Amino acid sequence: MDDRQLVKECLKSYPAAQRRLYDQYAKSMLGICYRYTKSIKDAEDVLQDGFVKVFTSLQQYKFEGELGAWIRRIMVNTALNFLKKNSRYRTEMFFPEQPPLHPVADDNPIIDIQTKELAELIRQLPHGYQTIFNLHAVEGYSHVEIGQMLGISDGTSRSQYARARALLISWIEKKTTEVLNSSYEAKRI
Amino acid sequence: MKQNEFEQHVKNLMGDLDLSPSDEVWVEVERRIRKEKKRRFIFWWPLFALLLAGGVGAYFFINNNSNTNKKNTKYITANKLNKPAEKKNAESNISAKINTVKLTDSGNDKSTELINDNGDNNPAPYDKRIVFKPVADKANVTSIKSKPTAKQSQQEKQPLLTTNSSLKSEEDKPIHSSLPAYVTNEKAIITDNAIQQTANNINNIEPKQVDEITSLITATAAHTDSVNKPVQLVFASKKPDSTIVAVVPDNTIKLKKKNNWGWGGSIAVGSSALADGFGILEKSATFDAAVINTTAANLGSFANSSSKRGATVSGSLFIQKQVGAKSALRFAVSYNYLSWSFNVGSRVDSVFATGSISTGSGVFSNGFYRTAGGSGGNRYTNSYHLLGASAEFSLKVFQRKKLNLYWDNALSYKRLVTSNMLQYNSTLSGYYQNNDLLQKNQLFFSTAFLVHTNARFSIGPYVQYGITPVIKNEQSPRRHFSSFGIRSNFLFGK
Repeated sequence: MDDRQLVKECLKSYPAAQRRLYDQYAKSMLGICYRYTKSIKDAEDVLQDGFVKVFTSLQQYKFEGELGAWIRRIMVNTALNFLKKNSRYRTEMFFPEQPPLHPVADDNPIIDIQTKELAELIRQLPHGYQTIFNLHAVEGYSHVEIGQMLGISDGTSRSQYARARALLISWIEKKTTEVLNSSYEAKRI
Repeated sequence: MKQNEFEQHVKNLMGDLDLSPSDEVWVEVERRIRKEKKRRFIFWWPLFALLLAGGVGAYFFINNNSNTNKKNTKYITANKLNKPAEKKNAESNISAKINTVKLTDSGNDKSTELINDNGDNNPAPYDKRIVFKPVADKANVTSIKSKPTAKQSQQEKQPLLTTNSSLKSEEDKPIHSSLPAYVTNEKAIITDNAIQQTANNINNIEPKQVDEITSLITATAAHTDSVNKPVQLVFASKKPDSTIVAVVPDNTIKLKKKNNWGWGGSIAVGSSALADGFGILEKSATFDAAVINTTAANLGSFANSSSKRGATVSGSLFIQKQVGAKSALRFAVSYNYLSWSFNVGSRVDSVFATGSISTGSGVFSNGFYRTAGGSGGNRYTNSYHLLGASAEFSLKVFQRKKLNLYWDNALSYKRLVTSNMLQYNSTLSGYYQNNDLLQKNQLFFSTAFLVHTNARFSIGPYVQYGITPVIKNEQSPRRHFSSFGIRSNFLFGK
């Protein structure tokens, strides 16, 4: 069944179709929610809110563009709303000025790291960094758009992103070094 | 460019990030979207009902006032006398002071026969009596006669106001349009000319008394059967400065109190089932009606082809108000029995739990029925008893001689009082009873075409559909009550 037929049946509130749409997109959407939150429980809460919005506003989907991209936008917006509303995240969404980071050795390191490991590193970023990094590096939003979405200037978005990127690269390098060292130790033994 | 390579790499890796959510996420998503849909439904229906009621009200309002712009015509509607005290006052004035006029044969102009409210032929001793004669006597359409008392018998024989001669040549003119006054559907219509003539010819009448005259005419018109018939204007004055008016049709002997309210009963019998959507009359709509799965995975996977329609009976008492020549409003309280049946297997008397008892979403049951299996099993009838109230709009859509066809549409609220409905549990692979899963508050729509064989009895086919789903279990397919059959109405009062 193609997306168009699936959407039509969902609009008729067919339970089987709704379940099928959920099964089709739930895993990838939880991956998105996971990157924006700090716990799997929060990620599932966002996923739940997001899918409720998907089903209750499905009539707004006009079959322009992919259904997955439309659902993805809803999930990202839902995640941002969740971060704004949740006090645990809100305190770090004010983007206070951070001290300058030490320059990283390589601005474009070889990422020899698995998907899950990279996701974990992104989630370890401070909330503000994490959000902006996800929006710019993964979702592809410009800094102007991010500024409008988060209510900050595009300059703040730019500087926050630079810090997040540098921090992440340093962690990736550290992680890569650890892997190489442990590999070297294993061979020596 | 190098910087973009890092972002691209991150994007590619994150695009592959798939995580499996727990089962609770979907359960909660499904619960919330069903709840949201129900909330929207509850929001829209009262709005729809209000719009419908407003539309009907506006129709009658506009209809009642459609003729108000006619030149040289004064309209007085009975509705203006809304206050009971005002009506009572007007009626008492009429009954106390006015004698009505009976024209025994208007064509022969046998003059008038005066009777009082008691129906005898002893007119009250009024000083002056003015009669607008029927149009059949074209030569003397309008005349004023003096009082009938012995003291002024001489004046009684002398016409004080003579014919409007222009009417003589207007043979094709509608009969009522040539009269100074007529009544149409609870409205008294008096030409300005008639009032002016009256004012000019009755002693001591003041312009302000015109209002009093027209009020009395209105009150009288509202209590006669003289719809669309020419009427006589009777002006009588007990004292020189007191003028009283009555309106009567040419064949009406005395004032008759008209009552637009009536009351009666209704009985309906027919066939009922649970329908899927609007497939109300399709047998296929009932085939899996017994399937009320409690687990989402098995939705729609079980079909019970043995289900059959059942009997339905309903009875109601109603009051109705005639709101127009062709329409009536009806308000009723009713009882409704609905049923359908299907095959079940043997009964197992064993306590078991369905759903999650710990979270409060489960329930204990004392027994269940196995599925019928290949042997066919036993027939089980799901029955439902409902009590409710309804509002119905009845419109005459066809009329020929004594045959009147009415189209009735009703919206009703019903409360599911009790039921023995079985529900399917896929884990149990059997049927059990849990009335907590049923929607107790039901909204119904029904439509019927009733043939009125006489003023008190009508009969015809009807269809009824439950707008609200029967089951509130959000994981179940939506099923609605549906029924059709024959309905008859009886009017007890006048």
